[in-house]
Amino acid sequence: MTAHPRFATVLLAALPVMLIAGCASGDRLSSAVQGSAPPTTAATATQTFTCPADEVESDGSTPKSYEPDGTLPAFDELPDGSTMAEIRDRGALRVGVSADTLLFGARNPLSGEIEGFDIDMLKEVAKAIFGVGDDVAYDLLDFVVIPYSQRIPKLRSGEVDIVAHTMTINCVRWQQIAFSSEYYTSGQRVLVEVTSPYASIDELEDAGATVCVPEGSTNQEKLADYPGIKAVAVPDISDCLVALQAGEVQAITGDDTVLAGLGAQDPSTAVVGPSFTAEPYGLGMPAERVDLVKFVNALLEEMRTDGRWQSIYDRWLLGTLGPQTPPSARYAREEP
Amino acid sequence: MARGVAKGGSTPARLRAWMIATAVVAVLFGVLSATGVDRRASSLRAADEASQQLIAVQDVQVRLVHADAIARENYLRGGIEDGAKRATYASELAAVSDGLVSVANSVLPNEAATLAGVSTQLSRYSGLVEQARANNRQGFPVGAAYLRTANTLSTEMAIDLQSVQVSLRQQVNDNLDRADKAGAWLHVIGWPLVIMLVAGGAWVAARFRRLLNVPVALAGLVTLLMLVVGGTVQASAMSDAESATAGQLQAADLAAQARSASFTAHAQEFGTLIARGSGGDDSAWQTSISTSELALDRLCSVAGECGLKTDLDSYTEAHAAVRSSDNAGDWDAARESSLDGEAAMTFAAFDSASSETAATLGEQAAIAMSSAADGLATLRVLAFLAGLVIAALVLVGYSQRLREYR
Repeated sequence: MTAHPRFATVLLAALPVMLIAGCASGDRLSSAVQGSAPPTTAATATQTFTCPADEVESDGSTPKSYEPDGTLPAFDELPDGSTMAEIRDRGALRVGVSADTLLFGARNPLSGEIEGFDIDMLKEVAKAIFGVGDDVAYDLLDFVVIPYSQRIPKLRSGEVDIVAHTMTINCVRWQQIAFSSEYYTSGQRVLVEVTSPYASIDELEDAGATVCVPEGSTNQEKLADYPGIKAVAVPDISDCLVALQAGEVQAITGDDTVLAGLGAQDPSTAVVGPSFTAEPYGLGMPAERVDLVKFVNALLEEMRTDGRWQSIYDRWLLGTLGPQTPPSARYAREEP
Repeated sequence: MARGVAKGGSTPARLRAWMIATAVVAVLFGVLSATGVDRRASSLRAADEASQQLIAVQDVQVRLVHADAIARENYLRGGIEDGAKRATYASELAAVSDGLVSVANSVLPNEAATLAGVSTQLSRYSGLVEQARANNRQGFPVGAAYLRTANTLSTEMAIDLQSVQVSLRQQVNDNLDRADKAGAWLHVIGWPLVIMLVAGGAWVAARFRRLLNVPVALAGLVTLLMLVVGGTVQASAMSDAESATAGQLQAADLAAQARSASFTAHAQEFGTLIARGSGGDDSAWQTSISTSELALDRLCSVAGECGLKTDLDSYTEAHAAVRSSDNAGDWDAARESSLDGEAAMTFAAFDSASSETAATLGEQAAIAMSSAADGLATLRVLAFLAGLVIAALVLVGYSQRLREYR
């Protein structure tokens, strides 16, 4: 009889051991790790700019720019403390450009260099500031390739000194940055496939067609005048050609010069219909750099008269857009 | 004695009822213990399968982002591509395609549907890369737009693959939890059986003035032996599986994550150089490399593989120089370093070392996970037989006492 309690006691003592032996330690597979970029400065609130009534040109023409202070100064006579002297002393002109707008700013995949009408304009600015020849000017440009939507932000943040990026001069943009005098006149048109039944922006609107447009461009603003069109905004106009070739949109709208560059990459497309806007192109600069704007305007004056503008135009655009003469400048803008 | 006789009339009946009840519980012990062991084994096998699928999906993702990095690298080289790189791109893409089909055949329907979607996107991706390449070779800048679109698609595919990995990790853990719970069956029925045997033995001993009923005592010993051996074998299998999960499998998982994030960062480096000069916004690269660094830090603590972090640090330093050159306007120097210089060499060293480590860890994880359930098949048979033996001993033991009433 005395053996029974002892036996039961041993069993009861062993019970927790047995149970513990069957328990798990709970090691499991962890979820995936996720890193993060270092924090950046807080984003500023979005600011809306409107065009003051006294800034609107009564005849609808291009807003005026700052008149040059006489002739273009030599590179070694740039005023001390001026923006140009600062750039010269820095040894590089920081420029915001497109790298995929054929004929205006596009990277040559074989040479690696960005080339086009806009790039040659910037090379002229570099030659004037640094006093160098054509062969060296390119190396003095610090390229920052930016999409359309970043043209104004990059200037306002001071990351670039000047933007040459098929940029239309208008009153609202003048509230945020400064422009040179007009250096090229373009117009907004449409690009469609050669088999397309649509031959103008009006026909596209009547059909309720889907049209691609670069985000943040004046082309996008103008497209709002055609409410029948379904607009598809993309970061860059090259993305529009991808969308057109994929059949995702029926047309692309943009400046005729840019559309010509797209058409040169795809022979099954064509620029059609009349221009429905006048797009005066200007070189963008920070609003407070009035001295740089005047300097560039003086340079453009020289280029209009000495044939350099014509030479650059003929090199890049004559073949696709036919003969054109330099646009005239409009000055007498009051300094802020 | 009169009381004993009076009560003796019901004793055989009660003894018979107790004998049958104990024998039934013994058989149940055998059946349920075998079932519990079987469930633990099948859950561990399911965890093993999910872990192998996880490693396979990660391999697909690593190859995809590697291919994307090569596509960008070749684009940055311009019309003259590196033939070996292009061959690697083609082989990686083929491996991605094969891997997707292979894994899709073994995963659950939801994951299979996601992988099928990735397969469809892969065809479109390769088409976009070819269009980017063809345009690039002709000097058409629209090629960069095609490459951007391809990269967006590649990112979407990677996100889909990551969602499958999240599901597979959960399946590994869920199956381990199921295996864990299945192990309790042995004890839930085993200990009540022990109590029944002890109580019955004590009652019979007191009633019949016998110190010990040998068969019933043997039944108790067999039950205890089964509880000890079965509990130990089951706990060992569970411990092995959990150790493999938190050790080798976790290490393989982290190594794959590090490689995937590093290739993504490498592709982003090429991307910023293609968008020449716009690399000032390096946040995407920083996010990717930060993910890789976190994975490697954890890999170091989990598996003691700390050398890869040093390799990655070398590349990170070289990348900083690339960005510095590009931001300073010397794009040519940045491109040279990225394609053939310090950045290229340091990344190649990291790729080589991490590839070897990931492969080794993957193999170790597969072996460790698949061997965890070894021994449970034998235990299942033993548990079932033990139930029958215990029931037989109970019947024999109590029958001896019942015969004394005849």
